[in-house]
Amino acid sequence: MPWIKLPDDDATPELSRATASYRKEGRPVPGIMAIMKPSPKAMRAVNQMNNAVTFGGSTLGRHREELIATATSALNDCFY
Amino acid sequence: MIKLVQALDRAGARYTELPLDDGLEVITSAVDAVLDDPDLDGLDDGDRAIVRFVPRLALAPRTMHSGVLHDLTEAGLDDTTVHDVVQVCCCFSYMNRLADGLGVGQTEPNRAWATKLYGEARWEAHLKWKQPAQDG
Repeated sequence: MPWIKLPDDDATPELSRATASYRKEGRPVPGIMAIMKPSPKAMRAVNQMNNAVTFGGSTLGRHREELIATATSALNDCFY
Repeated sequence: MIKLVQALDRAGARYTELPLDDGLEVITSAVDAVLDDPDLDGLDDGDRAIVRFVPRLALAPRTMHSGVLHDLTEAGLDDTTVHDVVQVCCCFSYMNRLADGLGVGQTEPNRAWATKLYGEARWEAHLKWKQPAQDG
């Protein structure tokens, strides 16, 4: 359970739009995206950043992206 | 990859207990040990240079200078690749802080790989960490 209260996925029109793709597919918004529900703008911007920089969006290829992601998260002691 | 993750996790924890230069030395030694392991395969020279580079940017960006990037270009990475390496590291550093800053934790479906990497005790500690503080 996150440490801040989060609004419902459809609490506002803007939030509804930001979470629409997940609700359409019948799956919950992943925790790391849901935590940004207080700011749908941030949620959209971070999603765009992630797609541009990672998840195959860079020139590195998935192998190197995963290598860097794993190393960074291990060093930062981030379980997620 | 499991050995690398475990080594970086241990070194990262030790890093926080030491003065900056000593902490970086611990991490450098841990990375070298893993990369020198003959059982570690699947990493080319560029990958190895990246693994050596990431700790400095992730933990001690104040120590960055142009010579650090030289190690990446010496390993054959061009400027676009170097840029993308930095971007990916920064992106995940951001996401790490977002998760840890607001209590986003792992969930039960991922228990198997998490305990394989870090053990049951760490998993249990993580579940406790996830819980919001009680009022009063």
